[in-house]
Amino acid sequence: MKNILIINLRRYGDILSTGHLINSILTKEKDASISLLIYEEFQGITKLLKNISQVFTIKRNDILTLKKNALFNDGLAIDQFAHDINNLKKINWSKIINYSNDPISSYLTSYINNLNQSSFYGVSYNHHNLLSYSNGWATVFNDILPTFRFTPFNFVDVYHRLSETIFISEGEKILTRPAHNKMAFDNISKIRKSAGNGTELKIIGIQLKTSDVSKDIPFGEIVKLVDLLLNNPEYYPILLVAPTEEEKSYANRINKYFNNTLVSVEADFLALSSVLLNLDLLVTPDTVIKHLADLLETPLVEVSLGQSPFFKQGTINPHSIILTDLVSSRNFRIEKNKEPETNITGHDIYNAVKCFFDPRLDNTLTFTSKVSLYRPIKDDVGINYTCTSGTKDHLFDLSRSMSRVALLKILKVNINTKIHYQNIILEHRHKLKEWMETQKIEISEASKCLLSALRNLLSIKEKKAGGKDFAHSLEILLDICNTNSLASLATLIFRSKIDNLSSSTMEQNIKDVELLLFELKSNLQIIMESTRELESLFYEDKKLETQRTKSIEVTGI
Amino acid sequence: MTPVIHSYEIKTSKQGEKTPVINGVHLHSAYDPMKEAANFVEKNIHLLSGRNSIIILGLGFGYHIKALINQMKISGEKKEIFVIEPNRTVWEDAKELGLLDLENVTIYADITVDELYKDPKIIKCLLNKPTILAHPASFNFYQDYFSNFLGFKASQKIHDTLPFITDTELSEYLSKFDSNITLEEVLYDDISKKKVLNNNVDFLMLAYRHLSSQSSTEKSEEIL
Repeated sequence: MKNILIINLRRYGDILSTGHLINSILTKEKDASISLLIYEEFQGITKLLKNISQVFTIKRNDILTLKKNALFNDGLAIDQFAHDINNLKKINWSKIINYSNDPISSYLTSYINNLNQSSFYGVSYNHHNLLSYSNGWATVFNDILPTFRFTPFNFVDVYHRLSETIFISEGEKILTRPAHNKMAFDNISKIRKSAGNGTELKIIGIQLKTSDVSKDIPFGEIVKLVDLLLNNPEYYPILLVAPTEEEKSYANRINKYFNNTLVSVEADFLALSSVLLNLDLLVTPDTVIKHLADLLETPLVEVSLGQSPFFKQGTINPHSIILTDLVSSRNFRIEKNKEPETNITGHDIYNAVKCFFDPRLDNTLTFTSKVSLYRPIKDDVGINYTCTSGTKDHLFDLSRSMSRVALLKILKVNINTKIHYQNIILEHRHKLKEWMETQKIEISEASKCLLSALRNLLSIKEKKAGGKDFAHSLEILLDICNTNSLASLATLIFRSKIDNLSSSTMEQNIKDVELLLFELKSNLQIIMESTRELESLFYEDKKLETQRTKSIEVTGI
Repeated sequence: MTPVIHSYEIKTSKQGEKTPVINGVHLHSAYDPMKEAANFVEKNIHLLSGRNSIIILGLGFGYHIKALINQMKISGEKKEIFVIEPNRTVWEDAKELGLLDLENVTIYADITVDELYKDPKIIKCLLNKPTILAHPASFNFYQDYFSNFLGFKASQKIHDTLPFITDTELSEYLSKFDSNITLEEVLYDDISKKKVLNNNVDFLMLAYRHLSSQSSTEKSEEIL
């Protein structure tokens, strides 16, 4: 039996979304036994996940109390930590997946890996205290996604790629209780049939609150949404309430606007899964509930507000919808618990609901200015997001789509680039020229910086100059990392590698840097090549378009 | 730390209960210790909700503790009680007088503050954020001792740290460092500056270093 350890030192939503990877691994490796290492305070959520063999925990709160309080000797804290990790040493791990890729999980990956000589996926530290990447996808996850503005891949896809696992959507990932399922089915079926004219109502669950006010749908907009849904004879809204006093009183406030006639369902996580299974659609601003709905394959309208980075962690259900403020104007690092500043109205959410039940409405319904509707689509790499209605953010989406293609080419993933380019041309035709010109300038600037760095390195090699000029040219080159241009993808990869060079001699160091500069050159060429391929297809397409127009003129049609 | 005892006697209150009197100070009411104990509970009852354990500073002859237990019986609550009493004689006399037949109560008598912070039960209790109640007469009498308990600062030198390490691998690892430096110095000066991590425990220590510098609400950061 293969023992696989997934280290996930993140929070509820991220732990829950591990369910996709667990399901994919077990579909392929049926005899595998998968365990999790998490912080103790998030242990409750693991009760929802199917097929976990063991959950190991780090008592973070105890360790921090013991460490931060002068009453206690630090030995108590470190001993607790060692004791928590000791439990992992009793098992011979054949695979360790560093899911969270933070410094703690990375050092722990090294520690456990050195004991087992297992294979690790993600990031760990080597004996020189430098980062070691299991593959290119670990670099994408660790060095590109946190920095690059135009997120090219969803986390779920990256986790699968970095652990060399094929994504499998089929399979039960969440545990539910039969008694809860029956109760939810019976009660919701009654509501569904209450229209009385033989037709069945569409049941739409509205999840009210998140753990962060900046992500909440404003109160007035929820009231408006409920009102619109109630006025449509095909829909029936129900309020989903967590069993806390705060949420109950929030739901009561909403219910007062409707003379206390609304149905609200109070459920903890375990019971909520059964409720979600019986809904036609869920409307939610919450990341944890969104991940849960995705694992249950319940479609949803994700109202993405505040810090929720939907390109990274948005719904991956191709039937779902994401409603967002214009992405280029969004501040994903907004202060927590600040009232949301959003253009999204209750009417927009209502329209998104209508689009869900009839996708043709994407082309006819209107949304508030600077509100966009995205749909997750599956392509040959994984989940991608396409704006199908509302205000389109062409330049943003163009950079996102092209960075996806360029990175896949750099990572040598076999894809049909032509289809990707054609989709890009189809969606962003009128902005392409402007975008391509900017990118070409950026790539050419990056190439100049690279050549200057190479020249200066050569001077050091030939002992014609000291390191000052090279250091300066390297600094300029690394500044490109912050430009968010396509060229910056190559420099971000270069930076991750140069930061982790461990050569012991000057000569070796120069050799290693030179190799990295040549790799950067080759990656910049790949990026330039992608831009040119797109450009040539664009002009080919334009030519065909002109010919078509001419022939229409000639034939007089 | 504890005051010099010039005189110690056991007197009987007007209501007939035994009371220790030290250096002329009555540790319970000379008139009605039971009523005084009931008042003590009434005054502090609001501090008890939502906590699983209570630390009481001062045992005396335990009337206030008995009253507290009775109150918890009425309200159906179960809490673990820890009592800290600096005076061994008081504790022994209370025991001999049959006043300490108390359920769920652990008494620490005549134990130095330093030793108290080595006791796993007390540490576990403190981690669970207990209610701390001071028995007024005892607290005033042993003010220095209890202030030291409340404001204790543990020595962080390696030689004081090693007795807390139960993990053999970690204990062996830490014993190789200068016993006069602190664990912080080991983490931030020694291990972090190592060019080669040649001991596997180095990785564990570095993981701990990052963990212990977090705040509990902080989300783990991504490596940049």
